[in-house]
Amino acid sequence: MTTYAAGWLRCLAVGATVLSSGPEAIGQTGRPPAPNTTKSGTVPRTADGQPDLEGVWNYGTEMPLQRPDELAGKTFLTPQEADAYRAQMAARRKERQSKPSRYSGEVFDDVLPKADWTKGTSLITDPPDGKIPEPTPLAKARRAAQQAAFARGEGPEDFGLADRCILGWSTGPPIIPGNQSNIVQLIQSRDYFVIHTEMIHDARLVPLDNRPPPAAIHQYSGISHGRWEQDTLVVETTNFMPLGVGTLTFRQNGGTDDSMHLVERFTRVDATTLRYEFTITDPATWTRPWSVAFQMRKTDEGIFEYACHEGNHSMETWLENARAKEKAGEGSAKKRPN
Amino acid sequence: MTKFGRVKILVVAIAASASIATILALTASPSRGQEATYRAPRTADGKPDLNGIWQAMNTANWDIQDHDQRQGPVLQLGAAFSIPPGEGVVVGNEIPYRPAALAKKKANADQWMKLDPEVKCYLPGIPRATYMPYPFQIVQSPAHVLFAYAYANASRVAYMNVKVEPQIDTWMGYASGRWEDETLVIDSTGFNDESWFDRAGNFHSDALKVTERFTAISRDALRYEVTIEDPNVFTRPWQMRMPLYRHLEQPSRLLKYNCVEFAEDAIYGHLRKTPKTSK
Repeated sequence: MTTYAAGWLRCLAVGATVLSSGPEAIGQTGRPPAPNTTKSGTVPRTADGQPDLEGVWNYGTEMPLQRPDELAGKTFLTPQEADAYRAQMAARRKERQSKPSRYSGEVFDDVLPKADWTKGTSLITDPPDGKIPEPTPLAKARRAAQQAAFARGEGPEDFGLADRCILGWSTGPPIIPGNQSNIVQLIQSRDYFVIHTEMIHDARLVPLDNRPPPAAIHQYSGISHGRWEQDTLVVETTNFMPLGVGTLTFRQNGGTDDSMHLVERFTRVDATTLRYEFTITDPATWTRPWSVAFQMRKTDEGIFEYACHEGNHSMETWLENARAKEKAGEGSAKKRPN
Repeated sequence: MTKFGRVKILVVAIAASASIATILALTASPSRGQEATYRAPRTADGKPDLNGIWQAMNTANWDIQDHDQRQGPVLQLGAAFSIPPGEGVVVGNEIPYRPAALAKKKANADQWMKLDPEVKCYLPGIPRATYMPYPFQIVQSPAHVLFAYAYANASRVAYMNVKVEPQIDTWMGYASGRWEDETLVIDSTGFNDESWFDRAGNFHSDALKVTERFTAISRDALRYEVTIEDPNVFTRPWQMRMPLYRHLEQPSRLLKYNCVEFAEDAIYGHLRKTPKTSK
């Protein structure tokens, strides 16, 4: 965008007062909603004049990624329906906590911040049914192969990227709220934006220029470049490994491929709120692109060092168990957790 | 002497002294004092701009002290993985170990392949992350100086002008930063005792305190000075010093060496169903 055009659009943005407070309702077209314009003056700026996205942001939410089956067809709830649904969720949580678990229960953000169900019923804004699109046959085959490998446990590579502490959990890319460590640190200079995740200590470096990525190099977090579109930072990421992204969601779907193209948008809404959106396209994995939007809240929390691989006792345990089962002559009918 | 003659002598004298001054300026080598007066370009908030991709060019990761060349631990790797000779980066070339600690350093060196956390792709700690043979990137803002390392996807953030209190023991430390004129000073504590300073077995305890000083000495080089304090292991503080050089590729890009997958056989190989052998 030329400086002239950007300046003209910035003039239009002045005086616009629409502020988002939750996931958007789905339009008839199923397209993701347009980025919010911000009230000029509520967005702090850096010394370089950019919107200031710096800080530690918490993106925990009770809103699930995909629309729950019992809410099928409902793009938003009435206030009474929202209260009733929240009561249902609380009852289920109570039941879950009464059962023995592999985890102590304190690990998870079990009481996640409330979401506005009158504005949406899933973090997915597109497709309109609020569900991850149908996987391709290749993705289904990959998922089946991964499940079989996990059950065999013949070596570390039979486990997921997160289990191996290579790439993990809610921080993707892309960022998807999970049940723990929903926290990310953003740092910016004039020429670089950094998405610094806690799990697993990944400083995703985004040069703010239009350099094309090298054609034949792949990285677990892909290779990113970014640009400012008005007050929104747009980050494009490609060059992912052909092995699959390690986030929990993607494990359930068999991971992604080196054809994955991710577009993320970061918009500082006000002093305490940042809007995050992404559209993910991977023709090898899903039959169509899909998009997500949610908000992050500024927090005083620091991010911890998460030395996952250095303390990965689980890997030893899983492999020892697999060898013990083979010795005992048991079948390998072990189910993949989560 | 005529007036004209005196002017001529004056002109010749001035010209001569100018020539002498020029000769002196051209032949003077830069002293430490001149090096220290380099003034880096500023960021928008008026601080020396240390943004960029940097790398050390030395053999400190092999051994931070002076060392002769010697055979590496895997004979089949031959010259590709043996130790080249190198000058050390320790000021005075002496590491003031306590006697018991010196014995532990030797034991570390003897079992290097088994004990060095680098072999396992463990987080490298500070200051080793700085002088490993891989680049790192500085992204600098008024409130944060972030270091992103290629090796092991390691990272750390120095929080500017705040006193950072460690809440847990870490591999990469808790860092507070401040500016002293042209120098970025970073104080780090909150280390565990698991990282090493090099492949020669030099180590520390969890009482480690590290003070680093980054000073631009030209557009494309920094002077890096480190003070190590650890009363459990050493009898006094000691220093390392080395230049760091800017990557000048256009554009320069930091690629991450996420090496966990290459360490898995070293760590879990004995638990495989079918043992793997090296090629």
